[in-house]
Order: sequence, then C-alpha cells, then structure tokens
Amino acid sequence: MLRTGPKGLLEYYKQLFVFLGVVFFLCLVLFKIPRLGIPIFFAYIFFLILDGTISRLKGIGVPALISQVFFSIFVALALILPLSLLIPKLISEIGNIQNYLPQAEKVILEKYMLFKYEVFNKTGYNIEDSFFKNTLDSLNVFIKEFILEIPSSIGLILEWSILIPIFVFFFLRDFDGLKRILFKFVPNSLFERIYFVGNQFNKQLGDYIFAKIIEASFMGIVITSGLFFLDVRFALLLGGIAAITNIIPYVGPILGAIPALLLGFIEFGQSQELLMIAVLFALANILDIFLVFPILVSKIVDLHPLVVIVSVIIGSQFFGIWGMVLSIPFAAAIKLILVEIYDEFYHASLF
Amino acid sequence: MIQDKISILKFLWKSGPFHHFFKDNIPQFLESLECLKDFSSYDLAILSQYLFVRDFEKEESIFNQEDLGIGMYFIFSGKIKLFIEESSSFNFIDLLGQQEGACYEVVLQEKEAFGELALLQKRGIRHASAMALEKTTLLGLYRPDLEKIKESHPKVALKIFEMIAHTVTDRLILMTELYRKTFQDLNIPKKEK
Repeated sequence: MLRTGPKGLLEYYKQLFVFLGVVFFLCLVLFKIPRLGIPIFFAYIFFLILDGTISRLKGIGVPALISQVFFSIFVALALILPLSLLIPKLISEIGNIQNYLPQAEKVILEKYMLFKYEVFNKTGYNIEDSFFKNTLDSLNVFIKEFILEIPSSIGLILEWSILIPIFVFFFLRDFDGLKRILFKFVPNSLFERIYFVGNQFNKQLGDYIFAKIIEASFMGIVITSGLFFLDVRFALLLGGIAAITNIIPYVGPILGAIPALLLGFIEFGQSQELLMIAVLFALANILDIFLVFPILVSKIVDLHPLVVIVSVIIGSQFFGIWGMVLSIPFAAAIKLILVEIYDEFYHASLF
Repeated sequence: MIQDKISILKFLWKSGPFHHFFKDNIPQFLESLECLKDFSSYDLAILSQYLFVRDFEKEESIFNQEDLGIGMYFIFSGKIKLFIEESSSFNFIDLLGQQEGACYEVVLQEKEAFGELALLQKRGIRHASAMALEKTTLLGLYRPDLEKIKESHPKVALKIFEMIAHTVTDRLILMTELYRKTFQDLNIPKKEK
C-alpha cells in the first residue's frame, strides 16, 4: 500500500523519480568513466569488508581515525607489495611466452598433421585444413592482443593501487555522511524498505566478495605451488589465471584448467605429467567444492544452482567477465528486492 | 582515548550558545526525553550520530499496519497518531464486540517515542499504523544502525536495549491490567479450582 500525504501520488512519484534519478546518475558516471568507476567500486568493496572490523575495534577502544588510517595503509600495502613482487616475474613470464608461442604453434601444427595423416590412413577421409587454421589464427590473435594489453593494464592497475587506498580512507571516514545525504532523497513511504534492502545488499556483496577473494587466493596458492612442484613452466601465470577464473561460478574452474592442460599437452604430450596436472586441478577443485565453498560462500548467497547459472550467462552477455563475477551478488540482491515487493503486495512471506 | 577526548570536546563546543544548527540540537533534544533519562550527555551525542531526520507533512502516513518495520522514532516536533485498523488479524476488537470499521488510536506528541518493537524483531512487522497529524519531524533509529552501535559503542547499545526493555515491560504491565479489567467488565466467571 502506498503511503502518501495530502499532496498525494504526484508528490510521491516526484520524490521517487528524484531518488532514482540521483542513483541512476551516479551509476552512469561510474560506468561511463571506468578509470574512476573501477577504483571507486573496489574501494567500496574494501570498505564493505573493513567497516565492521573498524566498528568492532572502536568497541574495544581503538579510535576510529587510527583504524581508518591503518586499514587504508594496509590496503595500499596489500595491493602494492604483491604487485611490486609479481609484476617483474609476470613480465618475464609474458616475455618468455611470447618466445614460446611460435614453438607451441609449430608443435600443435605437427600434432595436427600427424592426427590428419592417421585419420586418412585409417578411414581414407581427408580433413579440411580451413577449420583448424582459422581456429589457430583466432587463438593467435587473441593471445597476442591479450599479451599486448597486459603492459597497459599493469600501468592502470598501478594507478588504481594508489587511488583505491585513498578512496577506501574517505569511504571509511565519510560514508555515513554520504549515505545520509543520499537517503534524504528517498520518499518517506519507501525509506525503511530501501534502507533495509540497501543494508542487506551491502552486507551480502561485501561478504560474498570477501569469501570469493579468500577462495580464489586458496586456489591460486594451491595450483601455483602444485605446478611449481610438478616443474611446469609459467606456474605463476597459470596459477594466477586459475585463481581469477575461479571467481566465476561453475565454468570458472574449467576455464582456469584449460591453459595449464593445453600447455601440459604441448610440453609433455599424452604423458604422466599431463595426467598429474589434471589430477592437481581436480584435487584443488574437490577441496574447493567440499571444503572451502561450503564453509565460506554457500551460506552467504542462498540461490538455486539454476538461478546461479542463468545469472552468470546473463551477466556475461551484458558485461563480460565482470558481469560473470558480479552476477551472483546482484542476483541475490534482485531476489531480496523481489521478496520485498511480494511481501508489499501480498503481506506474506515468499520463502 | 584521543578520539573520545576529541568527541567530548566537539560535543562541548557544539553545546555552546553559538551553535544553532539543527543536527547539533539533536543531543539537546534527546536529553529532554523521559525514555532516555538514563543516558549521559556523551551517550546521547553518540546516539544522535546514528539518527535519521525525517520530515512528514500533515496527514502523511509514517508506516502502515503489517508493513516491514526496521526502526523506532522519537518525535522531534509535531504530533502523530497511532491506530489499529479493524481489518487486522488482532481480534481484541471482536472480543469487545465493536462495529466493523472500528479504529483504536492514540495520539503522541513531541518528546515521545514509538515503534521500538521493530528494533528487536528479526523481521519486524508493524502492529499499528502511524500518521502525522500536523507537520512533523521525527528522528529515526534503525536496526542496521543499532547493529553498528552494538559493535562500536556497546555501552550505548546496552542502554538502548534497557530503554526498550523498560518500555515493553511497562506496556506489558499496562496490558495485563487492561486485560484483567476487560474480563471483569465482561463478567466472565473465574474458573473454579
């Protein structure tokens, strides 16, 4: 039921329009200027993760300003230190991979010719080369573009690693004030509902991203160490790819395993080493599915697996990789809003 | 604690006669509330940081019966009406044999508080509707902020819970009396042992 004063529905819609307009404008600015939007988004995520800890520290007598400065420096170090250690190694691995690619292409071509010859000998069927060559060309272009983009991305990441801690500090210090200004635009009739849903959404988003960071780090460490142990080349790069792709639900672990398996196949052929790489990925994923995920992630976002798959596909369709990563907390938020709308109209619980 | 000292200095500065900003008047206003009489000036300064100021027009609804409720309100200025509508599942009205469309209401004025039960419930549902009878300013304290106070200022949170417990206890005693009186008026015979 709408709650309006004597000014009626017109006033209500006017307030609602202004509020949604302000939110839409802010989102549009952040979306259209990714150089600003992305660090602000990450700073916001860090803020969601750290805000509760700062409140708890305040509760035991640690002044808020000291915790805010400490955690902003902590975020800066957490971003800059690993980057300063990893970037030189990553650049050298990228340099190596650039030299390695023509060799890999040669090996793949040889294996393909061998396979084609065997098929022809056994069946008399001559496989057309065009499909293979097109696939190889596209893969080549993709990898080269990806590699070429890395140096400029590293520059941008370094810029963000300076900007993010600054934004984190101001979020930690001034977010309550900003929130109060934004909520001034919310119509009275929707205030409690929007405040409740907003808080729930923030909590879910913060908890989910935090859990995913821990999960991805776990996968990254396990796989990188395993690949080092198996003496596979580019272990750090492959472990990093596995960690990042792990953030994507369901398809992520498969995507993360493909480069390592492909490299293993090129390096070792159909051998015990390739099998060991496959076993390593399988073991890491089993640990993740049965240990890390149930403890960390599943309790935070209670969504049906089908909803998860559909949201990942929709997210990837509209916003690419980031859409895939963020589709889950957004799906959880939409569920929260739908439950509230259902409750508003039917005065009964949906679940 | 440096921060606490700074906060106290800020509070003293804002208590000065040259400060007439609305938000700075909130701790002074809270001091005048009967339900917050156990709070120190410093506690009230902390509490005031977590309150939302909401302005309502005359006859504007504040919340409706059976709405989701997440907070309580202090009446800063104006007058409001709390009322239970007949359509609710509350069958006390049937018990009294009132006509259909009957409505029970109570008027609350400046310096009074209402809606505190929503702070205690996980999914608070409003048991009555509230409407502004004139241009009214309310100070709202909401559950997410109470959660924050619990972590950052546990002593203040404890006092808030005590305040709610006192209000609820007083109301329970009043309800028990009313219930007893109603049964006496209806001449319902006592069960014999």
